[in-house]
Amino acid sequence: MTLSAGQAPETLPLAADLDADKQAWPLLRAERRWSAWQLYVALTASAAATWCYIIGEYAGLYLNFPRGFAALLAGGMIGMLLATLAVVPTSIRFGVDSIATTKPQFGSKGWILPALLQFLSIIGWNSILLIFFGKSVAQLFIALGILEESDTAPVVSGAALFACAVVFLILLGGARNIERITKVLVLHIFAGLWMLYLLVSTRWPELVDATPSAATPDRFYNFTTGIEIGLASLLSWWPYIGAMVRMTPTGRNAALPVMLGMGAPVPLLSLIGLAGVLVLQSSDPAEWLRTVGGPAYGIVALVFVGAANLGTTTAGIYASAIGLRHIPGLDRLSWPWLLVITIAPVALVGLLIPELFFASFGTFLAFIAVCFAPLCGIQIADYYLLRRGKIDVRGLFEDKPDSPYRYWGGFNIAALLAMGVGVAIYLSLLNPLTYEARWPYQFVTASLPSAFGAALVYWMLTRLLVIPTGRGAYRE
Amino acid sequence: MKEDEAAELERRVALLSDPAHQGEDFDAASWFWLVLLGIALPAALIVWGVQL
Repeated sequence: MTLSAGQAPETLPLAADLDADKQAWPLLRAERRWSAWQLYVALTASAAATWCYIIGEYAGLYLNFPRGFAALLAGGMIGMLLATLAVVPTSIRFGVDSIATTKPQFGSKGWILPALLQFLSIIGWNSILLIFFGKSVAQLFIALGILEESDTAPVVSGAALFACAVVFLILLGGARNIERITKVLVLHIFAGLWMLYLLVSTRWPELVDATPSAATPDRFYNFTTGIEIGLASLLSWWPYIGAMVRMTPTGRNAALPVMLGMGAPVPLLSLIGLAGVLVLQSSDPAEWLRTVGGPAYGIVALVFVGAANLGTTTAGIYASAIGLRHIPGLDRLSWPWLLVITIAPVALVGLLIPELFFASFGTFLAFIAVCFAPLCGIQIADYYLLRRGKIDVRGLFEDKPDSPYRYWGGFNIAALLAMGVGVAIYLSLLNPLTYEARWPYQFVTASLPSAFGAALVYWMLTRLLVIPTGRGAYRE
Repeated sequence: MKEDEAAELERRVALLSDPAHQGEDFDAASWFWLVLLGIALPAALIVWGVQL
């Protein structure tokens, strides 16, 4: 997306019919009408989904219930703070999405790297959510006696495709529809808390005595891995957060809703998965609610799963579509076709490889942390330490030889090298495939050193290389 | 990009170049909540969790 300058802004036509919320354009203050409460509801409905159960399940491999609670909430809130500081200030000031906020660091062409990460992340999360939904539908059909255990595959794929179609229809209305449906869908949080109460109140003695199946003798490793899982999970909000907070006009409106509405629900609802896997060896409430309360409870769980995942998937697909708008060619595509392009990969995963993808969740989670931790570190260092809040809004949408964020042919070497160092630090501390760790992972996690290392390298290279050559608009 | 869309983007960028039309960054109350929920709360949870 680029500018064609030359005409005075006051002579240009107002664009009420251009549906600004379906573009990656910066939103004007008058268009950003969400109150703090509306943002809180939308963020909560977006954050609370069945990924919480899988996150809780992974933590439950290493930690018992009380320690899992402490580790997930601590890691989650730290991760949320990192993503918030990286994206929200620029998003709030200029009404832009997460991808636009990376242009001052990565360059007028280099933003394609974060855009690719955003696309892969959102596709991955939403595939997992819709497959989870499909599996829950299959579980219900089995419980009702209308499906055999061996015939679930077509039902899983069919339900995932059905959910894709529903998300498409909702998003035809843009951000306005997100705000409308989340007002209703947010009620599922209470159903989630009820399920947690049910499990904790009926199985408390077993829950207290339960032993995590993959816990190591190193208590610090176990606890830090719980923190790392929480961190990685909330860092994955980086792609979503910009498209949501840009709908409100002030940082004050956004700070509490982001931390409490987007940050807290994930670790809290993860306790459902944590408790489920510790006591019943299953994190899926659609499965264990039937064990606890019979088929009627299973139907309640399915409704919960459907409502929870619908809100999140809708917000995710919206954020991804807005991010794709930055790509030349896609900026002029009609909104329905852009939605088709965004949803199609999710539908294909749900149709072709649901089981394989679902089984690779741990690796996917590690991919999130490997990529987004250094990205957050770079953005925080740039905004707060190097630019001290000075962003050229024209540079966010301009790609000319004299553009502020042109750097070297559109790419900032400092950001790319810092990303590389951050990824290397992460991989040197934790193997994302096996969760095999090296000292001092058990005391510092892998994501935090990765973010800090990337920030430090970015700061040094910018001071030594970028600023002296007059690039990046640091001197203005 | 179509001409009217390019013109609309230019209008928006021109308006947002003026700080009066921009959104507002975090204020002191925002920073209080960010530090409390993003640093102090996790620190307390980590201390508690290690002792369990």
